[in-house]
Amino acid sequence: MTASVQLQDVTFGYHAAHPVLRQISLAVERGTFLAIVGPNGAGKSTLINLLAGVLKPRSGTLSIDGADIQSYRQPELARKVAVVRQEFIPTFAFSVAETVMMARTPYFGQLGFERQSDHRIVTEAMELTDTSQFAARPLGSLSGGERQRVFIARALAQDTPILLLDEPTSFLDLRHQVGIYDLLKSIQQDKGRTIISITHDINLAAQYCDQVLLLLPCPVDSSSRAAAPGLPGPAHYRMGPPSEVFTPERIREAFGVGVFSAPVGRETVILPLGRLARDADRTDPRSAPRENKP
Amino acid sequence: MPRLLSPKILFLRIAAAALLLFLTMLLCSLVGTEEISLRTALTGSADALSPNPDFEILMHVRVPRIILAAIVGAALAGAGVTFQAVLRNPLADPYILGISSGAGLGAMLAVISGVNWTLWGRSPIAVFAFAGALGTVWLVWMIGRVTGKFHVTGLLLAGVVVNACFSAVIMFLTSIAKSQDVYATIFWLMGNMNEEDFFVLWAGAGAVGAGLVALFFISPQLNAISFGATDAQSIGIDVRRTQFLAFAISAFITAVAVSLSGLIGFVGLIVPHAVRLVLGPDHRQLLPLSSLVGAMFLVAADTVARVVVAPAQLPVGVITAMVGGPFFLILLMRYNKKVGWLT
Amino acid sequence: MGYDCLTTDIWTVDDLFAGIEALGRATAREAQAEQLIAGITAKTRRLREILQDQDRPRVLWVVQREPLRVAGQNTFINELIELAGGQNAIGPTLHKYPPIGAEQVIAADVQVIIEPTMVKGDPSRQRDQALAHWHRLPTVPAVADGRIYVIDGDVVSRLGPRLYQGIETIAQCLHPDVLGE
Repeated sequence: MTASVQLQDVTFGYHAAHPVLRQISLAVERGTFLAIVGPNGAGKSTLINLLAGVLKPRSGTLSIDGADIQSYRQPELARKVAVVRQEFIPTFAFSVAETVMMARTPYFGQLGFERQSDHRIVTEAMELTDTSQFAARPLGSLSGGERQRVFIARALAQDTPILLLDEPTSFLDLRHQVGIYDLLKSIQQDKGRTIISITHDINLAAQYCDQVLLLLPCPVDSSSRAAAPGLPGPAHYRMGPPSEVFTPERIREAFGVGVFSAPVGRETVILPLGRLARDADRTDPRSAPRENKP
Repeated sequence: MPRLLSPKILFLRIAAAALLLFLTMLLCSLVGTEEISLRTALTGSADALSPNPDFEILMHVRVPRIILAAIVGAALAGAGVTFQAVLRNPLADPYILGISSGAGLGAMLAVISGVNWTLWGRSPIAVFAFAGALGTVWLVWMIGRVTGKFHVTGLLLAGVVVNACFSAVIMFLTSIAKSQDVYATIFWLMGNMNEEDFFVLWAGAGAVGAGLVALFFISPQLNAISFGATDAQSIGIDVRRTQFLAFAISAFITAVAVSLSGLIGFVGLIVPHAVRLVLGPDHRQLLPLSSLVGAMFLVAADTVARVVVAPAQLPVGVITAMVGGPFFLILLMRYNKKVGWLT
Repeated sequence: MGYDCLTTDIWTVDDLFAGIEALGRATAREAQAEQLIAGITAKTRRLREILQDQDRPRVLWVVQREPLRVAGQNTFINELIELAGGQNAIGPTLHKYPPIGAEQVIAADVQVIIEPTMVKGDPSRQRDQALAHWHRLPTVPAVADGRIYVIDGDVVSRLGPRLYQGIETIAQCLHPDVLGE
């Protein structure tokens, strides 16, 4: 089965001299729920923008559903990939229903009006995200979290096999965080969609996601050349199931924090602990900073 | 699904607005400095030997002028809606990308150079102003593209720069020109409604009408673009094409309006706002209705301008500003609660 | 710098005469100044006598065609028109050179339209354009009778020693049967 998303030696930088992503090669199978984690500035949003076709790789190839992303015209790409970015308030006071319906614009009829099928899809998207109650309200009158759900509904209304999300739960309360993850998981399982989501919540990712991509900031010195192909990934990123990627050592390496880890259920819970945390003395030694090792 | 526009509702609203426009035009044709009687105008003599001044005034003076005001008002309001959407700026008006200084420069050059020929019956001032307006927008577009693919900020800055340069040239020309030439240019630019031939009216109505219809067909894209270029692109909108069409068509109909009647301000800024406050931001509705309301507004404003200091006339731009301002304030206060983002 | 300066404010014909006198005094040429004033006064008086029994045609003095701007009653041009045996077709206005609409032109029953040349060049070209512009209002007597005149803008653009020349030119337009074209 062709991978939904495939990167082959993709390198990208906003300036040629400083790559943000260096020679990334990975494949995301169809119907996978992938979490992208990493410290700030590692290039997570940049990767999402590459996958959305907003940015072009400087070298390497990026394929969506087997075809090079450059070969897609924008409206065609929009049928494959939908993006949920940070929530915002638009310039004009569109209502929630109007906002979600906007995703169906490429499908509108001759006069520029929506069809019955569009109504159905939008209604369903709004029900799934628990935003139907806001349908008539202007976007600006909602809370940040509620707006976030509206933008997720809009991406759902686009009805695409691949869904990209940039920190979709950052403003949501616990109930809605879990709700969104449940929703994304059900979409993955019931509809076979591919979900790629940037998140800072390691534990929820571990509970819901099949694969994790841990991105580290690209090393600045060019002397650390990429490992030859075939070897298990250069130092810049790691990909695998949560249990492999979310180890105390990896967390330490990526985020520079000590953790308290304990198995809970089928997964290991990772809890970041600083120096002054109550259980600071119970920090996992594998994640302790090397300098302080007794 | 609540609060979504449907073709039927849109059609009804457009029909209602069109009817209102027609009634406004009818009413205003009966208002003027000279008393005329509709009956005399319509039933009185019509042959050349015993002229019927009532008919003359009605059909050859007032009606063409009212039609012109409607055309210009519709063009300015429609262009205003479009520029506000593409530039994502509620303070944008049709002149924001340097059209005003381009037209002004064209007009000044026409007057100073003493060029005498006419094009299709249009005076040199009108032709030069039209060319100046379009040329400026093209220049701003070219400069703006240098700053990046979709960047709206680049366009706005290019507009500011071009405006500044052209204004400097205008100031220089003003300093060396004869005072009567300067006066002539200023009065032309201040906004004026002339009584044009029906050929000019047909051509103007055709150009503006075609432009507005074309803009209507990209209204759903305008909705999406008003959220942001990257955002719209992710939904599948061809942002480049939509921006280009929006700018080109709006600039064209604005240039037509300017060449017909000088620089009339306020209509393109305030009418879209007022209609949006009442009916919401969906451009499929905002565009046609703003155009109709803009037409009504300018017809009414011109009627006031014709009458208030008789036998002289005020430049219609004075009336649009004095009437438009307070009216908009009232509207803002009454509908404030509807628009959450303003509070 | 030690130079004597003479400033003159000339808005009306009386102002003009006062100005000529002042200039004469300042340059010690009082006799020439008196002569100039007397000459102009005599010629205008004679003109008035000739035109005594004539009607005063209603004149529209067009300063700018688009938008239509005319000389109002509060201008020196108005004085020239009256001295030439005519009357301004437009009533009193706030502006000196008001923009007016075609409606007022029709209502004012204008008998003569005068345009000073606006640019250096062929006055006949301007006249052709004027005719083309005004044919839109065929019921106006001036248009119907073809009494649209384009005169040399120089002699009427300001009050100066050639005052009588300007008045005479205007009078020839207003009363061609009496004075000849």
